[in-house]
Amino acid sequence: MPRFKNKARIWWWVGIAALLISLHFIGWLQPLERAATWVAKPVAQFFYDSSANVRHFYERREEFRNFSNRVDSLEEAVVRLTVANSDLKELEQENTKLRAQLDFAASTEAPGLLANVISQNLVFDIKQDDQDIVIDRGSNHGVTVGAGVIDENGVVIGKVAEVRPTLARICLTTSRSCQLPATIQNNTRTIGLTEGDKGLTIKMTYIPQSEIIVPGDTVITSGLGGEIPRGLLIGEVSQVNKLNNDIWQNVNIEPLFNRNSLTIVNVLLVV
Amino acid sequence: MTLKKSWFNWFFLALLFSLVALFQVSFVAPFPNIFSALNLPLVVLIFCLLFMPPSAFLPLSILMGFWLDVLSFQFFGLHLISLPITVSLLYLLLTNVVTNRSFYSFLLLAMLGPLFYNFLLYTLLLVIPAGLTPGFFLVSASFWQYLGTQILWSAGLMLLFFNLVNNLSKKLKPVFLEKK
Repeated sequence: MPRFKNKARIWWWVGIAALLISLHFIGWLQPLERAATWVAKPVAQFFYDSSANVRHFYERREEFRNFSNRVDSLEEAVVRLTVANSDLKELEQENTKLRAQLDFAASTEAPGLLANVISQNLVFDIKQDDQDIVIDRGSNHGVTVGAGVIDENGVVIGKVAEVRPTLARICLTTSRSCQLPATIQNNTRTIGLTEGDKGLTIKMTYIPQSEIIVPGDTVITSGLGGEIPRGLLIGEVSQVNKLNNDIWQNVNIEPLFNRNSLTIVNVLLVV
Repeated sequence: MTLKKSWFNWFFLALLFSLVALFQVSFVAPFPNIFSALNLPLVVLIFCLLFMPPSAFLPLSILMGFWLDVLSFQFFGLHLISLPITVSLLYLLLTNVVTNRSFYSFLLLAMLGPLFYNFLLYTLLLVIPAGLTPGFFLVSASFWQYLGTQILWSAGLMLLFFNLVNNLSKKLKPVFLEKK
């Protein structure tokens, strides 16, 4: 027969657990939760940074194995980017003159809020398609659901999916549940919605067959929806999936951020 | 034990267990699946069954559950319910079924722990529709793969801990069953 010694004390602890849960749902536990989060942040930050260093170390080891291949591809990329850069300089000069002539107001940038990443992958997703990070800023700091999040290079890494007073959950662009309005920078500036694919890459579907997209085209935010500003880099088209008998085509997009090296991010506050 | 020493012990244990919970959330969880399957809070709690009565491991499991709930985005109470129930079930098994303190008993507990815990966790996520729901987990290959990895981690760590402690303490029976 199952038995517990000292049953009264056991029930006492069951009561405490039930009380904690009840107090949370009526909101009376919030001061304790805030205090706990405040205490946990520096420790969690330290653990997360250590974890990121270890992951980065192993990732670099893998990278060194493919070093020569990477050098070749990077040299090609340098040549390609140099050519693109000279074109862009020309365009920039032209743009500056045109803006001055048309008296264009300078585009306003959304105010950013720096946040530390304190955890990753807390989603209980058995298909492993969703990827999340948790940051140490929440609704108390002005973070709202839907706000865009960028890394130190200005690349969009995802958007705010859920907010608590002192924490926020960010779904990464590689996450199946993370959809972003985007534009492909091709001749026709194809617009659509991006969403994560198997937690590894990004895809854009339901693109008309008439659109001409080639690998290497960059994908930026379209600004539609209003929560994420236009023109932020999402990734680069890596593969175009086009079948003649299909109505639509879809593209795979390579994200341009490294999930393992995300330690500080910038939340673009919605104004 | 004096009252002052007892309070110091409780404070030390609370600090240690809080650090384990934070370590799980911030250090272990971001790793790829094969490593993030390691459930350190559960392994530590199973190991506590060796030395502690329910009046000690229950509050510590509640404390760990609290930290995991505060820092995660599932409904509050998920871990606060799952962890104490899992260790209580394991304790009942230890006191009623595998009554000796041999390595095999603890290996069995280390393997059943993740099984109970994950079933409880995913069932709660399934029946309480708050926030992220994982879907019906029993037919998911990823769930079983993840569970298998977690059981392997748990058993491996138990092997390590048990042998370490066995060299220092005479509380445990290393291999053979106890003769009555």
